Amino acid sequence: MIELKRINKYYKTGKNMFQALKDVSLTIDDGEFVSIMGQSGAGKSTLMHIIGTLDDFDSGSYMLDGELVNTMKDKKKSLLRSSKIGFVMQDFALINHETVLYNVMLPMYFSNVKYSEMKKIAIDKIMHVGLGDQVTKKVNQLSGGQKQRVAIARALVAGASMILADEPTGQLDSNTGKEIMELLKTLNEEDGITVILVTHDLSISEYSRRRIVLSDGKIVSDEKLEK
Amino acid sequence: MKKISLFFRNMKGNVLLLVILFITVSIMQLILNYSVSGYLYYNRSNIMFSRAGLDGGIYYINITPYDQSTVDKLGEIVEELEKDEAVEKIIKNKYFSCRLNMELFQAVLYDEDVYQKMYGKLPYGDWGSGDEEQVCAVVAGVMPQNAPVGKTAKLGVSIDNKIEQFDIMISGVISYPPMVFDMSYYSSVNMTADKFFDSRSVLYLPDNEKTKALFGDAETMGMEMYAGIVLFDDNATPEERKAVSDKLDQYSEVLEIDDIISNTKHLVKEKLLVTTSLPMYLLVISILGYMSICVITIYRKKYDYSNYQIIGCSKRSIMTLTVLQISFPAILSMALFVCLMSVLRSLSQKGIYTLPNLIFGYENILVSVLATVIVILSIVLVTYYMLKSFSPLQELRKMEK
Repeated sequence: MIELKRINKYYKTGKNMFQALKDVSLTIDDGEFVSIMGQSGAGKSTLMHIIGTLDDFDSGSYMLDGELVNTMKDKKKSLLRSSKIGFVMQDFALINHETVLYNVMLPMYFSNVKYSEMKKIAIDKIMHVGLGDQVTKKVNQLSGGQKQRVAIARALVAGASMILADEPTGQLDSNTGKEIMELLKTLNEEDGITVILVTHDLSISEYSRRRIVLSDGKIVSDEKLEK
Repeated sequence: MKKISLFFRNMKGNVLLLVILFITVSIMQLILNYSVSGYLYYNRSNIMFSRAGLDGGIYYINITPYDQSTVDKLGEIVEELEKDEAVEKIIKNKYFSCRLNMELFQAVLYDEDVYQKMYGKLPYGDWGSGDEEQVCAVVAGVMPQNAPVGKTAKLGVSIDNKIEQFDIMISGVISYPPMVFDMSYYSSVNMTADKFFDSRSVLYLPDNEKTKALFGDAETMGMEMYAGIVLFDDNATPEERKAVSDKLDQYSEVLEIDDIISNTKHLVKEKLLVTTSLPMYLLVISILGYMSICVITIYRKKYDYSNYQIIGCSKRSIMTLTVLQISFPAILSMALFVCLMSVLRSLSQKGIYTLPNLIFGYENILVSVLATVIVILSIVLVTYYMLKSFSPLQELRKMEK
């Protein structure tokens, strides 16, 4: 469960201070599929990075599964990212010169998973996302959609219970984008994975069951979507 | 296992660079250790010479030993000076050829007081207490573990053109590599203590009445004595010293021991500066090389590092991985040289293998480790500075643009 209370985030731009998030409070339960929308500069990615412990905030509190993230050191946050949180980025954020298998195994090097089990778990996840025949291929030999599947497999591999997807279909064509969204929906509905999606595309946000809209760093709407 | 696997996997693409770094730092280690070993030799000669209690004395040597008349006249002067009140004693280089258990040795009659101070504690056995029934001898130039310490040996000596056999006790052995004190070298230019030491097979017999009773005196042994050291009485005046020196100067070259000790100290300092300047220069080059490779590697891997952080690698782990990968060749080279120096030291002490004018000691190991630590510290500094403000989000935004 994610609990954010009165989160404020400032960025220094030259001599001025720009407030990216203003008193943002929200709660996301386990198993939810949430989309965060807004125009460019609204604070969507900033919010997602804070939830994913990639970025700090200036005031407020953040509880993740009952643990206060504010006071956590880098090591503890890193452990959270390796075990609970998975990221799916717009540009895939993969190591292109390495194989699919290595990319998917990578998070487990920094987690508590035993070395002898790593390969088996990675292959299992790769097959789960439909890339069983691409295990030994280099990432730079794959299509955009396949790369994003690898990113999703990597996000799940260390036992992550939450996926943070920042414009996951941004670099994909519409059909491939739909395939990726269907995969995320399946992971949410069948495996209970919490999915937090950042997008500016309304049709993509329709896959979620809750839509939060940000504008100028504030939450302007938070609605459940009827299915 | 995981971290080791990740460590080696990450080195892909950098193998050639790492090999070059390894070669560079190994050359530096080689020259550094050679310099240190040379310094250790000169330093030991200085320590031994200074320890012997020869301060204030004079060294004389007949530089025309083929001229029998000068040898005879010098011998007469030395005999006369031995009775001089200003002279405490004259240490003459008395030596003769012999066979010890059928092996060819040079036997040296040594001054018990001076030599025992000079050499100090022996690695095996001792110089003998003097209470033993047999004459006690100390060997040099024999592998210490092979020396028959505590055993009786057959000594074959030519006396009056006849080979005589004597039983002697081998009471100790000089450490390896042997630095045998030899008063038969002369240099007119800045004579130093290292010139007095040589490496060969020698049998030290005490120059005392017991030995004389066994072999006879110098004349009987046919020993030519054309070099020695005069030690003065504490009450000798400068004029008396000068008078002694002038007498010896007629048929030999005379050098002040204090000048020799002073020259040696100066030489040791010089050796330290001159012979270490090249290794220090190479160390600086190595450090600059490593720092450059460190910067290039981090720039190349920034995108990979941002991925690592996203998937759960802490910044400290990234820094550790980077430092270890780049310093790996230096660590490998250090391990190689520590092993090599340890082996050479061990072989040298056992007498199995030595190199001329080089001593291998724990100082070699210390210096090898220190040089590597300095290289690693430079890498840590660069890595810390470059990754201090590293932000995976900024790197990802750059990639998106």
